[in-house]
Parts: sequence; structure tokens; C-alpha cells
Amino acid sequence: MSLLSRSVLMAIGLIAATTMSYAQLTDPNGAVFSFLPPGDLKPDTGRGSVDDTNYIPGMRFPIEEAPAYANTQKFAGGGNCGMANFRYPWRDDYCERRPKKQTSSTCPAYSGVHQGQDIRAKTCEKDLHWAVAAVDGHVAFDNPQGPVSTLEIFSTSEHFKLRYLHMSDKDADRPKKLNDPVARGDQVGKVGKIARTDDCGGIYSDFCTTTHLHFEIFTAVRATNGARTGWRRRPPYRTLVDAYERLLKGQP
Amino acid sequence: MQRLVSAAIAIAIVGVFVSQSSAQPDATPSILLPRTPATVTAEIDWRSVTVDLRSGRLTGYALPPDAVKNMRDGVAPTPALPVLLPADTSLLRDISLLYFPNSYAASGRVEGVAVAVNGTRVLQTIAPGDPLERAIESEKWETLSDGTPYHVTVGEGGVDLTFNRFGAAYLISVECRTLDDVRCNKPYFAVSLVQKMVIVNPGATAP
Repeated sequence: MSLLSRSVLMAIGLIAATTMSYAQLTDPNGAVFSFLPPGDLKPDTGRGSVDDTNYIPGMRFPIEEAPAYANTQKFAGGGNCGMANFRYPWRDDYCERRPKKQTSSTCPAYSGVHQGQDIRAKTCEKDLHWAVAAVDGHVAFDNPQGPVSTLEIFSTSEHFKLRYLHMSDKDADRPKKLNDPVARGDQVGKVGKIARTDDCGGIYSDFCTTTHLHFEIFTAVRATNGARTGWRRRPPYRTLVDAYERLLKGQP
Repeated sequence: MQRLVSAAIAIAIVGVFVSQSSAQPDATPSILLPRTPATVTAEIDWRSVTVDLRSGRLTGYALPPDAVKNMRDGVAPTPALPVLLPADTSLLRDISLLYFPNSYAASGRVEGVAVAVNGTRVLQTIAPGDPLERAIESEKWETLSDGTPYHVTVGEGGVDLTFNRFGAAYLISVECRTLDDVRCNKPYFAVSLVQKMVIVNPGATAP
């Protein structure tokens, strides 16, 4: 066999192997999953964090079932429950514009930023879709009657916690309580409570949102300037993409 | 030699294929593993703990044993870091704690406000080029009355205050019942909680 033909055969083999990793992922509805890059916010909604870091390798996607849609709530358009918001591609909304008081060191603008990623479950229905523990850990904060119905999981790896907002405030919809141990994939609560607000009134009248999970990653970070070692929010988008891809592959 | 040459040609062909395939539209499934950060376990400056206890800058607090909620057979790990809590009597009276080898998590209420405390000596390191390194330098840090620097952020549901003491990282989070409660949309209440801290069972956690 000539040098050229041997090379071509070898190349074909390698290309075949490479193409496997390009295989498109489809969700249970048959839709092909796609996502926009980290930091690519909807135009004119702020400056995103271009961060390709997976802060929690192997994390379980925090909503039990696909499809789910990571995208903007505040700037959704088309009616927040409209079908246009329940399709791919995913879009980062960490660092999206918010009231000035909300700050995050990992956003280019620092102040006036959204501090997590908003994720729609498969439909807009309230108190229906399960959020699950994304990691092994314990429920370390549980405030269903708070304004954003928060639940937090402190990881067994001991250096990060995950904050789930807008969970159901009904006791039966929150099977895991404060201090309970949770295993990766355990149902912790239903996605439900809409904050800021159902009727889009009150002091946050510019924040009309619908049923969704707001997901934050808080990590303890050792700063080069040791005095500034402390806890920081980290951009969750890339970590969620990786987790969702594994969910679609059937390997959550 | 021939094998090497053919392998090189094959890799070149694949390289061209891959570079062309990468030039996809913006929205595309991921094919490359993203970067992942490392962690370190920080050394605790126990000598400074002792100094602060002797000077009264920090006071010891004997926690009721039933406050620790993740006991197994009556035993929980003893965290290898100072377990610091706000010195608020109503919080300490009903506090619940989770103990882990290098961290702890606590929660309770002060005047109806939900309070969470996290302390850990397991820290994520900042990789070279991580934009957070520069961002941290431009953060606004202030100082507690005892000289401890802190950084505070206001979030969707409440306030988070972080500080570093004795080598460990601490976080105090507060949430109110309503969004318009100023204790949870301005920093002052969280700051007041950490102005005076106690260290839980100091003899038990020091090495």
C-alpha cells in the first residue's frame, strides 16, 4: 500500500473518531441542543462574563428532566411563557443588567448585574418540574417563605455551595429540609415561586418573570492578595452546558 | 520512518478537517472540555486565634451538643478551622450546624431574618489569566471595627458578606421575608452581625 493511500486511510479513521464527538445532541422532543458562547448576552442587556471554566466538573444538571432552557427572564420578550423562550440556543444571562445595588466581581460591569443563570424547565407551569441536587452535599440553607424561596446545597467537597432561587414555597414540594443530606440527583424541590412578581407590580415593576430556576455557584477562592481570600459568585453558564450535555447523553 | 510520515500526513488532513468544522455558527454543541480550577487546603493560623482569644477580640462559646445536626452515632467531624458565628444571643440559642472535616455550615434566625454562615479552608485557586484575579483587586473592601477586612454584595434575595480570617474563608448570608426590608437590601445588618464574633468550642477545634 502506498504512503499516500495509507495516510488517507489513517485520516479517514481519525476523522470518523473525531466526528463522533461532534455528534449532535437531541433532547427528548427531538430538538437539537445548541448554545451561544459564555458571555454572549442578548444585545443591549449588559456585558457578559466570557468565562469558559467548568467550576464543578461532573455536576448534575439541576433540573431533573430535559428539555430545559437557559436564557434571559428579564429581557425575554414575546411573553415570558411564549414558545420563543422554550427553544435553543441557550443564552448566558449572568451579568445581565439589574439594579445598581447587585454586584459581582466576576462581571465586567461589577455593579448592576444579574448574579446567576436563569433556567426554564420544559414548560412554564409552576410547581411541576423537579429541581435536583446537582452535587452530593447537605441542605445548608432553606428559606421557603423568603422573597425568592431559596434553597442552598453545601457540597461535600467543602469549597462551594449552590444557590437555588424561585423554588416552590409549598412544604410538600420541598422534600429536602434544612440539614438533610442530599445525593447528586435527589429531588430537592419544585421550580415554582415567582418573585418580582406575578403581576409585575410593586417596587420591582421592571422585573416581570415567570416560572424558572435561578442558579448560582458560590466558591471559596484563595486570592493572590491573601487578605481578599473569600467567597465569590462564579459564572455558572459553562458548567451548566457541560451538565446538560451529559443529561442529554443519558449520563447525567 | 514511512509510518511516521503517513501518521504526520494523516494528522495534517485531520487538522484541516477539524479547523474547518470548528468554523461553525455561534450556537454549537461543545466538543472540548472546559477549563477546571484546582483547590488547596489552607493552613490555619491557630496562633492568631489564641492571641485574639486572650485579647478579647474573640470570645469562646460552648455550643450545646445537639446544635450539630449531622452526628452519626453521636459523632460528627471536628472542623479543622475556627468555627466563627455572629455573637447574637438569639441566633446562638437556636443555631443549627453541620460539621465537616475542613468546613462548617450554620443557619438560624435573628429578629426574623434568616442567617446562614459558611466557613471553609478548602479554597479554589485562581488560574493564571483568570479575570477574577484582577477583579478582586478592584473590589470594594471595607473594615470591621476590629480591623478585619470584608466584602459585601447585595443579591436578588438578600445580602452576602465575606471575609478571611486565620486563613479560612467565611460567608454570612441574610434573607428577610420581603424584598423591601432594608436589612436585606442594604449591607448594614449583615455588617452588624459580624462586628462581634464568637468562636465555637475553641479547645475542640484547635489542633
